Amino acid sequence: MTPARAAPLAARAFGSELRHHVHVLSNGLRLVVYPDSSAPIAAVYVAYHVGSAREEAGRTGFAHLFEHLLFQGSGHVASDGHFRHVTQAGGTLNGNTSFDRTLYFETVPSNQLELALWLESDRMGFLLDAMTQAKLDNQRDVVRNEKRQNYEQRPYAKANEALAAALFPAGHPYAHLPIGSHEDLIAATLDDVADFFRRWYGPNNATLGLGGDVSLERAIELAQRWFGELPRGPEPTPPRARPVRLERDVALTVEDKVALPQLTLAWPTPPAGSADEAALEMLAMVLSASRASVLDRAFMIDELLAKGVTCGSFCGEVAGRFTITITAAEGVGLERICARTFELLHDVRRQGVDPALLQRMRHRHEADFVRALDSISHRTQALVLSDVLRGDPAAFAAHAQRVVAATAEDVRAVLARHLLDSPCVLLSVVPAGQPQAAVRGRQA
Amino acid sequence: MKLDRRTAPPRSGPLEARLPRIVRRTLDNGLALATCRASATPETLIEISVGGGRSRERLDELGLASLVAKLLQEGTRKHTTVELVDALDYLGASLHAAVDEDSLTLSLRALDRHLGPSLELLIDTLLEPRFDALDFERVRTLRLAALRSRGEEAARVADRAWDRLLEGPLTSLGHSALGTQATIAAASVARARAFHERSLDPRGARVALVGNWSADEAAHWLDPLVRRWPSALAAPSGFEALPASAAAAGLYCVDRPLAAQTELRIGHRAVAASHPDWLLLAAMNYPLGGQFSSRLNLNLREQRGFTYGVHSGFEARRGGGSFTVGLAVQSRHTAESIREVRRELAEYLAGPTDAELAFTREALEQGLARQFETASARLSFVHTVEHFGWPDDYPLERLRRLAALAPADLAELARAHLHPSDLRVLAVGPRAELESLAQAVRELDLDGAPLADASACGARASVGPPA
Repeated sequence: MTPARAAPLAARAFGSELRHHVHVLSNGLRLVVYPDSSAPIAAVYVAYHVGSAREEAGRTGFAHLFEHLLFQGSGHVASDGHFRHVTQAGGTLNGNTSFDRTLYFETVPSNQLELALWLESDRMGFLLDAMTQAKLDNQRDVVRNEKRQNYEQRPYAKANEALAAALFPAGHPYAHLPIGSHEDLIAATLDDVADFFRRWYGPNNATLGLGGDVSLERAIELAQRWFGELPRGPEPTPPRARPVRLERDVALTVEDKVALPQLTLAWPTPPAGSADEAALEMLAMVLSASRASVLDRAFMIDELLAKGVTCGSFCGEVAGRFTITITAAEGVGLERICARTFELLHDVRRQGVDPALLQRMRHRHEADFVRALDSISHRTQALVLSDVLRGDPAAFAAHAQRVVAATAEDVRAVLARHLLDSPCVLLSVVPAGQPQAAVRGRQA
Repeated sequence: MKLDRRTAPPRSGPLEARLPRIVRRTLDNGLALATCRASATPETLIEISVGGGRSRERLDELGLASLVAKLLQEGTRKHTTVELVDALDYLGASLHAAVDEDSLTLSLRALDRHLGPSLELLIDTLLEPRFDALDFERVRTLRLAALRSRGEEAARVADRAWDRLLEGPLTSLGHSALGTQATIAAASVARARAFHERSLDPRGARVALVGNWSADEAAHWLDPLVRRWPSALAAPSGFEALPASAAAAGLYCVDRPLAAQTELRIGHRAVAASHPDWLLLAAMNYPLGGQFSSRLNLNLREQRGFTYGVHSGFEARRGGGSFTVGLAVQSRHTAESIREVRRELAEYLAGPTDAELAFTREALEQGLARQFETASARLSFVHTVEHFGWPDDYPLERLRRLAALAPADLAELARAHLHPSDLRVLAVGPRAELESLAQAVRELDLDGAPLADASACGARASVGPPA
């Protein structure tokens, strides 16, 4: 079989088929239109260029709490209107908040596209007309239960907060997670809601994506009709990159209700758009995207030292982070896991990346790329997020090509520069009452 | 024209939703093929189901079906584990094996231009698994570790205990799909191989293929499978799961004294997917707990803020289904949440309002537009139709029947299929929070077995009142 010789990359072929158009309304709202009549549906995405990174001190978790409030009605929409109208129309909807942006979306039958635009434009323009203390109190309770459910009740999850705080200095935009602290959620007031809305939710800080069974002309006409009259907000300050470097290794321990200890090694890395972003992403794949990647194979096939291995590279607007997380197998100590991990990383540095493995990970990446774009909503979402975070809807496809183009030497170089020659956080999550199971440093 | 924002804009025209068309063939080895076209992405999805499900596990081999599914992914006669994974990575293909109640399913997702060699790997995996002793030990060791960690996540503890309460200890379906320390310790390569062999017979198997191919092209792609899999390699065992023996109605608890939240499961057994009412049950449940704007979610989340979300639903199984309300609540609101769920269920016996019924009809009808968009959605449609033997147009059949019903008819359905006076209530959280319900609490171990029961695996002594 000779598939490797084949192949303009599917990524290239498929990415270029996402023909889209950008149109900017006079109030600054960026419109990305993606006509695609493969199904009788329309996807509407609104991305606001604000996330937890822009929260004020003492108000962690606010961007996400605010996202919840956008489903509580607005000037012309009843408090349960968003979910009720879209569900009744046969659609789906949701929202989510990350460090850098907040995203709202619905997918509806294409004959109901205007319904979604009515709802989205009303909360962009008239949210405060319908805001009440009762809504804030209720959604604060809901969000605090979300935090309990997804962070406090889930094994190993609460350590994520400690990790963020160890990787980035106090006050750094990424030093806390979007879910925030109970204390800060309790402190949020209606004035905070109004201030945040006026500061960040103007049309000139947002991208509207319309994908699916709609023509370019009609998309522009409808966007103009529903959003055109909304007033521009204050000019948003562009987010500022603040990459950091640790001065020395930091070891920390979190006790949790778990049976097996887990080690996370984490490094601060450069922000999105840096020259090393693509190679870092490929490094994560070479280390752990497949069961035959370097770490997974060594820890879970060649020897059985671990129950699970994951690895990820995230590059945001402000900074980046690279993490390796390994849950020990029964009877294996974290010191051994730690020592073996560094041994394996040094092997890659010394011997270079196995070219056959690199080639396989390129194919894997290409297939994952196609899969991530399997629906009109996913394709529209990719274009919109790319527009908001990279300033160009097509940039995500170009980025995917850079990942695939990363050479063995590129990958080896970022491994040396950002991991092996840089201080890291060594986070041990240990069973309650066993602090001695923690790692104390990278040289055991 | 001045824009009127006061009311929702009307639809711009009628809906043009069409169901995907399923085309069937019987292949030369007796294998039943169902195909459906999907052309949005350059991928083909193939799913092969054979009769190796959990209901074929005897009680002394619990966990074997899922162990076999894991082992199938550990190499073939021609490939070691690493070689198999490397080959799949090289092709950009993904291959998974999973078990449910009554089948073992291998799923392949392949790029069209690598479909031939990807399919060969799927066939190798199905027909010529390696079953290497070292691979087996590795899979077993990881499974034992998973079993030791099984108490970590309250939601998973609740799911397992809930199966046990509804199915009872006498059938494999009442136990964790992971098995137990004892059965996994007793498992062997020979047992795994035997289980695999008695599952393999193309006459009882189904294959579904979804991609940008006609039925003839799909059948042609499967030629190598037909060639390599002559019928009656092995006779399927007649063993099926023993009947369920649900626990009595009442209040059950897995005590987690310091938990911030309590996981709740509230419900009872329900009819099998073959029941004539089945297609209407999802519609009947829709206003109660089937979507965000349901009575349960508006009450417990949007009004009271006790939970991040609550859902109710009927689960389809061939051998008898279940009705479950599932949610996680802040622990101090446990008792009140249980009272509210009970109240909502009792009130719903009066059926939905006119507005709720109209809402349900419209939502289900309009929802057809987006339900079958992706290849994986189409595969899941084919799977459902084939698995339950429902008509190819069952979503339309549901709408036709629903159109003929009034709220009073749905009230009748609710009374026939919801039993608020016969509920099992399971709380995984602080037991002390249940005191105000003034009701006997039966305490369970991590596997859902009564703590007083000598056969229970739990290490803790029984402290609960007599059951």
